Formats: sequence, C-alpha cells, structure tokens
Amino acid sequence: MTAKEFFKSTTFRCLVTLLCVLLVCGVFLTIMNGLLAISEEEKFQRVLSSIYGKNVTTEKQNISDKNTDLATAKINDVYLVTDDGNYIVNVSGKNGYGGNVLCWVVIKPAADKKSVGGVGNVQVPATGNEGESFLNKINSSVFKRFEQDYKNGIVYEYGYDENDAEGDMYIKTGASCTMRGVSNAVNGTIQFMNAYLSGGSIEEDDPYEDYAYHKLINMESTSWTKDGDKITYTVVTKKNGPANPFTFTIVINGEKKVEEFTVKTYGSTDSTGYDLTIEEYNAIVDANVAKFIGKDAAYFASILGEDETKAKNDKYEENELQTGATKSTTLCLAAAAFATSNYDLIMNAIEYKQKIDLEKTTWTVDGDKITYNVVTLKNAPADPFTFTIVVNGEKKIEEFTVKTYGSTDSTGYDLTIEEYNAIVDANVAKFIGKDAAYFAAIITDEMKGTNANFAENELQTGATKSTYLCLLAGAFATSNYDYCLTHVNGGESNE
Amino acid sequence: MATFIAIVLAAVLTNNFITVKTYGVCPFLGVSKKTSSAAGMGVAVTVVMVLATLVTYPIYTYVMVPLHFEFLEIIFFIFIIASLVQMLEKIIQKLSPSLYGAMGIYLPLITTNCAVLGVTELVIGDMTAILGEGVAMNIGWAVLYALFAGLGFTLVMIIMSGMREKLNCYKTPKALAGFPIAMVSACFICMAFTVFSYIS
Amino acid sequence: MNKYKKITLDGLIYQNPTFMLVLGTCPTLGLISSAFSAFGMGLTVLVILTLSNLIISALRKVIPNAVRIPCYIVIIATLVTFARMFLQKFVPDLYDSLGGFLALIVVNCIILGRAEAFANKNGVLESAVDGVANGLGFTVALTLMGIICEFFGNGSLFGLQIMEFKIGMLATPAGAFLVYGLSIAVFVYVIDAIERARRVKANKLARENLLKEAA
Repeated sequence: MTAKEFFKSTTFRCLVTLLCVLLVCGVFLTIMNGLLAISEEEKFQRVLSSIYGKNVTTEKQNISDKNTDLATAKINDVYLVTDDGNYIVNVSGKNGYGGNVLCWVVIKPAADKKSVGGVGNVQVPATGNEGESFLNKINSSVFKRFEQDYKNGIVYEYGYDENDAEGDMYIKTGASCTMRGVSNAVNGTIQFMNAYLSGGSIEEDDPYEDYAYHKLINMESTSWTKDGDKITYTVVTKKNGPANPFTFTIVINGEKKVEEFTVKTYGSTDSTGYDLTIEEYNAIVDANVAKFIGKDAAYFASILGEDETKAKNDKYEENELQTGATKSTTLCLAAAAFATSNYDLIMNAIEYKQKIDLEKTTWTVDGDKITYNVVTLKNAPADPFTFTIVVNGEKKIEEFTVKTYGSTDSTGYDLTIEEYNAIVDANVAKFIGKDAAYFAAIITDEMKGTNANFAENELQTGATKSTYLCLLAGAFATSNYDYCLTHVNGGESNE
Repeated sequence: MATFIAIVLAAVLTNNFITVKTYGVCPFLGVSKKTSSAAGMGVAVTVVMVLATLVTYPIYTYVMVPLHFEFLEIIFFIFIIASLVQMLEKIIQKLSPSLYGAMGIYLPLITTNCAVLGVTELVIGDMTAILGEGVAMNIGWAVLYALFAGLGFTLVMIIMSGMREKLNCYKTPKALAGFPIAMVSACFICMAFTVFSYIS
Repeated sequence: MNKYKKITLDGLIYQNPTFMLVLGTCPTLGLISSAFSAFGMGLTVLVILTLSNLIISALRKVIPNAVRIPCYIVIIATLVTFARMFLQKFVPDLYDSLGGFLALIVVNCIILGRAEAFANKNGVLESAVDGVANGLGFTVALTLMGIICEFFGNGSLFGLQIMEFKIGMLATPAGAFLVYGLSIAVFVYVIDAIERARRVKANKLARENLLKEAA
C-alpha cells in the first residue's frame, strides 16, 4: 500500500475521525473544567453555608494554644461568622457508636460576648461519620432540641440511657450511642467556647479534690482496705522528675499514725547525673522511710510545706532525713502524707451510695447487729425499692426482705410485674449469710451490674436492673458496717 | 490482616455490588436464566473488573492526578475498559477456543456493565469506610477489592439463576412473567443479604 | 406530524425504556429510594440523551461505521463529564445525592441504545424528539417509583416529612427491586388491557360495517 492509498483508505478516515472526536471532546472538557472548576475554598464555604442556611463570610480562629482535647469532645476548628458574630465549631464528640462523631455546632455568644448565650444549628455530616451505622435513624428534628432546650449551664444527656434517672433528657432515636456522641460534642463545644470567649482556659475537674496530698499519687491505682480502726493502703505514686512511680504498703493505726511503711516497688533511676547507683538510692530511701514509723499527718505536712509536690531541703536535716535521693524521698513523704491526712475521710466514707437514697435510709444498732431500712433510687426502668436488711456481728447478712417493690413492666420484655418480683425474691434469698466481698465481686463497677457475674453466683437474670438495686443495697449494708456502728444516728446526717 | 478481612467482607457481603449498591443489574437480570450462563458471566465480569482496576488505578494515581487530568477520568476509564474487553476477547479467541465458547459471548456485553466502571470509580474515591481509619489506599487493596467485588457479584448471580431455574417450573401470571417476577425474586435475595449488614 | 407523535408515544409508553425495555436498571434501582434523586437522575439523563442524540445524528454521515461505537462512547462520556462539572458547580445537592451513579450514566444502556437504534439512522430533529421522549419516559417512570418508595419507605415526599408511618424496607435496594418489578407488571397489564379494549372495539366496528354493507 502506498502512502497515497493509505491516506485515502477507510482505516485512515477512521483514525482521523476518532482522533478528531477525542481532541474536540478533550479541548471542550478542558475549557469547561477551567470555567466550572470549584476551588477548595468554595467547597468549604459551601459546607459552612449549608450549616448556616445562608451564605456567610467566616474567619478561622486560632485555637492552637488552647486545650482542645476535652473529656467529652475534641475541638477541631472554630470559625467566626463575621456577618453576625456567631461561631461555627467543627468538633468530634467522643463515645459515639463507632468512635467519635464528627459534628458542626453553631454557637451564639451572649450579649457581652464573654460566654455562650445559646446553641444554634447542630449538624452531623454523613461523610466522616461512616462508623455511625444508625445515623440515618436520627430524625433531623432531634438536632433542633439542642437549640430549643438550651439554658445556661446545661449539660445535654440525649442518648444517655444507661443511668437515666428522670428520663426527660432522653430522646428515643434508635441510635442512642450516636446521639450520646452528638451530646458530648455539643457539651464539649459549650465548655470550650465558654472558656474561649472569656479568654480563660478550661479547668479540668479533679474528681479526687476531696483527698489531701493527692497530687503526686496515682489515685486510679491506689487502693485501701479498712480493718477495725486500721487502714491498710497500697499507694502507687506518679513519676517525680527522674524518679519513676513507687508502690508502698502503708498501715495507719487508730491514732492516725504510721504503723508500717514498706516500699514494694522502687522507682529510683540512675539517670540523675549524680554518681550513685540504683542500689545506693534505694538504701537512702529505705533509711528515710524507716523514720516515718509512728509519725502523724502534721509531721509530713511540716516537711512538705505549702507546695505538696516539693519537699523543703532545709527540713531534711532538722528531721534527720538523708539527702541525695530527694525526688524519691519526696514521693515517700507524699505517700505518707496522703495516707495519714486522709484517714478520717476514708474511715468515714460511705461506700456504694450511688443508687442509695441517703436522705431516706435509716439504721438502728442493737448490740453488734445493725438493722437497716434502705431506700434506693430509681434504676430505670426499675422504680425505687425499700429493703429491711439486718447485718450481724460477723458483717454478714442475716435478713434481707423487700418491703416495697419497684419493678415496672415498661421494659419491653414479656414479663408481668409479679414475675419480676418473683425473680427479685429468689435472688434476694441467696444473699443471706453473704459479706461485703461477695457483693463487691458481683458489682465490679458501681454504676453498672455485670450480667456475666449473675450466672456465676446462680442469680436469676430477667430483672437485671431490680436485682442490681438489691445487690447495691446489700453491698451498702455490709461494707458500711463499721461506719454505721459508730454513727448511730438513724440516718439523719449520714454525710 | 484486619484490612484484608474488612475488604473481603465488605466487597462480598456487606457492600455487595448487586444487593447493596445495585451496580451491574442489567446482566444480573438479563443473563441469569441458567446457572451455567450466570456463572460464565460472573467470572467474565470478575476478570474484567480485576484487569480494569489493575490498569486504571495506576494510570489515575500516577499519571492523571500529577498532570491534573482528573476531570477526564470517565473518558479514560471507559476507553480503557472498552479496549481491554476487546483485547481480552481477541486473546481468548486465539488461545483457547473452548474458553471463548464459555465466556466469549458475554465479553462484549461487559463494556456497558456499570459494575466494571463502578469499581474503577469507587477505588479512586473515598474508601475509608471500608478500609478503616488510617489505612492508605494502594494498588494492592484496590485490586483485592475489585476481585472480591467481582466474586460477590458472581455469588449473587448464581443464587439468582438457581431461583429462576426453579421458577421456570411454575406458571406465572402473564403480567408478572419475565422481568417483574425476576425482580421480586431479587428483592428476596436483597432482603436476605441485609442480614450481613450486622457484620461490623 | 404523525411521525413525531409516533416517536413521542413510543418513547413515553410503547417503548418506555424503563418499563417496557427494562434498560438503565442500575441507576433506577439505586436512586428510587428518594423521589428527589430519582427525578434529578431522570432530568440529567433527559438532557444528556437529547444532546447525545443531536450530536450523533448530526455526525452520522461523518463517522465511519467501523469506529462508531468508540466515537459514541467518547461523546457520551464527554457529555456526562460536563454534566458532572455542571451539577457540582450549580446544583451540589443533586450532585451529592446522585453519588456514583452520575458517572455511570456513561454505561446507561438507554443512551448508547438510542444512539445505536435511532440517532444514527434518522435526522437531527427526529433524533432530538426521540431523545426528549425517551428521557421523559425515563424521568416519569423514575419519579413515580421514587414517590412510591419514598412515601412508604420514609414517610416523606421530596424530602418533606408527611407521616410517621414508614416501611423501612421500601427505602432499601430490596424495596427498590420489589417496587420496580411490580410497577412493570402493573404497567404491562394496563397497556395490555387498553390494547385489548381497542382491538375489541375495532373488531366490533368492522363487524357492524360488514353487517351494514350486507344489509
């Protein structure tokens, strides 16, 4: 085939046509792409406008120096709407169904612009929340509740069905966990924006603020047991400079003095730059600790002084404490101060009181027997129960009767109230002769009963929430025996 | 390993192309009267899906994105798929006439099958829901997803053909005969597959 | 004029792409859970189909037979890409609700089917009318089923909440299959019944005429 023939052939025509079509289409699309391209900025503006319902101009706020990781939520971005002074916050609410729930929350500042004055639109985008499988079950009108229900100091609890006391904050959506995440997001946003607008920072709630000298103590790992007027602590400290956490066993006697002080785990390290080995450090610690025996809270307070995290060097000599392992010794002093100064607080603490109505609960002492009249709180769907419990001198249950039943049939299961009550009675009968340890083993978490433990202890399931109240009442009665024995006041001022 | 399992489960069961995404329904309804042809079609689609992903994914990520040609993806992809199908047909015809007899007749139909274009478009999109947080998409996962999406497609094709073979034994009302009754059967398969949405 | 009427009726009813030919099933099943996205898909296909019919019909004498299919695909893909850009820029809500199905219009059998069966044999005007008629047939069918599915599956119409009662299954692909299948059955039955009635009437007329002549 010559070149001339090729140019006249169908093959050539086909090729040319195809290429032409491709070329024309390509050029057309390239032009169109240039004309219709959407910039990232425009895309983002669109998102903001869809939240706001109208086109707005926004300014991104600098929050990099603030604490954005709160207990309930993580603040991602804050935008100021320049048109009307409101804020749009991008936030991840914790504890959703599949992890964090990404939300957009509109915050209206109060008139003085120093605090939050209201919540506007709350939006949960589908993209970015793929883990929330039931997100589409939430009717969009539910999100309006955040705006409608806002009042100063509100903490939203939509979706918290677990310990729902009154029920008015709970909305049935079919996606409780997602809703809990959204509530957390809005709560976190309000908390953050209050701090942000007032120019302050967020103060972390300290759950252990009742305890003195706890700043160097790892409260979550520290435990104690009461035995008569003695308290035996297992104190785990935090790190202190180069010193790693220590673990001590401390026994405080009835005179609130140290009876025993032993180091179970040493935290000394040799990374201090001094010339001592770990063994030498430990020897110093042991020598100092030996001097703690028989000392009381005032002794430790005088050495530690105002700032509980730092021991005063000049006090060492005065008290014949060896220096050289200062940071480790500070930890020992802090542990001892913690153990001695909190003696009263721990001795008089009422345990297992979360679901007990302390105002209505009373007890009388007869010899070494205590007769309780325990009134519980609601444990939705179960209403309050009233029990009569007798605990004998061995701190064991002698009698356990239900005076008022709180079972309801609003659980969605197929049992009648009578059947629920029968289950409760059967379970309660097994409590006779049991002590505090038995209840503690079943109630692993004070706020929640664990179903697995029911079967293990031959408790009947089916009325879980009611049985749980019985367990808590039993635990309350047995574990507070010592306290109640010495506080014979019929329950007037239990606190 | 977790990603591997996640992809397999999503592609075959929880995000099945036919029952959840409703991609590739035309061959699903058209070529499911007999189990043998349904299986043939399924295998053909799977092969083309894997090959198409193998070619389009690298081209998109390493050529089109750096050159800012993303907006031409549809033209490129459909062109690649069409030529791929054509080539595959020729190759099979040459190498194995028996395989061509079993699979060849379905190949021309595949060019206009949305399952193939669908999978190539899906793997270049946002897949975090399936892969999980923090796992980057790459050619390996893309091809794996295409392979199991194709197998999931085949699975439903075979189930459907089984139902339709049974259905042939009964007389259906005239208005329901053909597509309508097939779709009602498909409805039951879809409902059965919703059970898998509880896998998470 | 009669020619255009026939094209229109064919596209809308007798050769309705959704109910009679059962083409373009994937976007139908994927999108009829919401009336808005079903209607949007219908309109998008209507525009693309009309334009592709126009262009292909205009070019039918230029494009050689051997490469016609690749050319059609390129033209359709261009139109779809354009539609995608357009929607993303001006109607982002619709763009989001159509999702992956927007790109899949390329492989929608209706468009390639009309190009192959009609546009490459007929004039520009007829092809345009055919495109509009088929597109309308597709749109009406999708919107009707979208309304049914959304009303019963979600208790709403075009996103507007009407009632609390809902059968969730109808908003899933399973429900889409069911509604689509039953809609075809009803459509075919009604068309059949009308045709039969017309035939009976025509027969009766013919017989009367015969009798009259005989008398």
